[in-house]
Amino acid sequence: MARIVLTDAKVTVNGVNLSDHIASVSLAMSTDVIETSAFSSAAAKTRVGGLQDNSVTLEFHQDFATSNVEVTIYPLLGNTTTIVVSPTSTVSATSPSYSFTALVSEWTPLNGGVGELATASVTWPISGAITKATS
Amino acid sequence: MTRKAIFIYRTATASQFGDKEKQMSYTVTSDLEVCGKSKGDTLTEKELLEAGVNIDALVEGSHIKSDSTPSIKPVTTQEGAK
Repeated sequence: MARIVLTDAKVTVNGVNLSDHIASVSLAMSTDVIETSAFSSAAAKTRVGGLQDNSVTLEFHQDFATSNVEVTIYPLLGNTTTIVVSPTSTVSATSPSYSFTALVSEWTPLNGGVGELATASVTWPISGAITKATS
Repeated sequence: MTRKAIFIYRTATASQFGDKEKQMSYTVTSDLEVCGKSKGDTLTEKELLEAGVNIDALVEGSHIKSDSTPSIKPVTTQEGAK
């Protein structure tokens, strides 16, 4: 299995392909750890998995142009939206896509210093399960 | 002799809007790909709903525009109708 360098990752937010304005994507998945330790001869804790708690972190290049980043994200603030991410633009068995609903809980329309690129880094909690597809 | 009164109630149903309502469609106006479609392509409301997208936000963001606006004709009554 080949290692992968991300150059063609695809990110759609509310159905809009914003990949050419996103510099970083991170899909974090975790599960609550529920302890089930009880009196027994084995002096070690036992555990089972609980609820999943997932989130997605994206770094946008801000763009106020028509039909671009700002007008796509701004109306979604406070609402849930569908997001699809994949390591390459073509989904396959070796490049799966991950679809989920995220709560657009934060947005930074303006961020950056003098001479810097205007960016917006956000972490949105995921509501519900993540669906992994290979086609 | 007993008199019977018959009342007929006319209720508005979705069908009065015709086919336009059933086949609501949108044209992609964005330079960016929307639900896998490019600028000028058509997306049906069904496709958008199946994709789970927020249609209002897409319209507000000028990514898509509605192809048709259902017109509601006023109900007319015939002269002398009871």
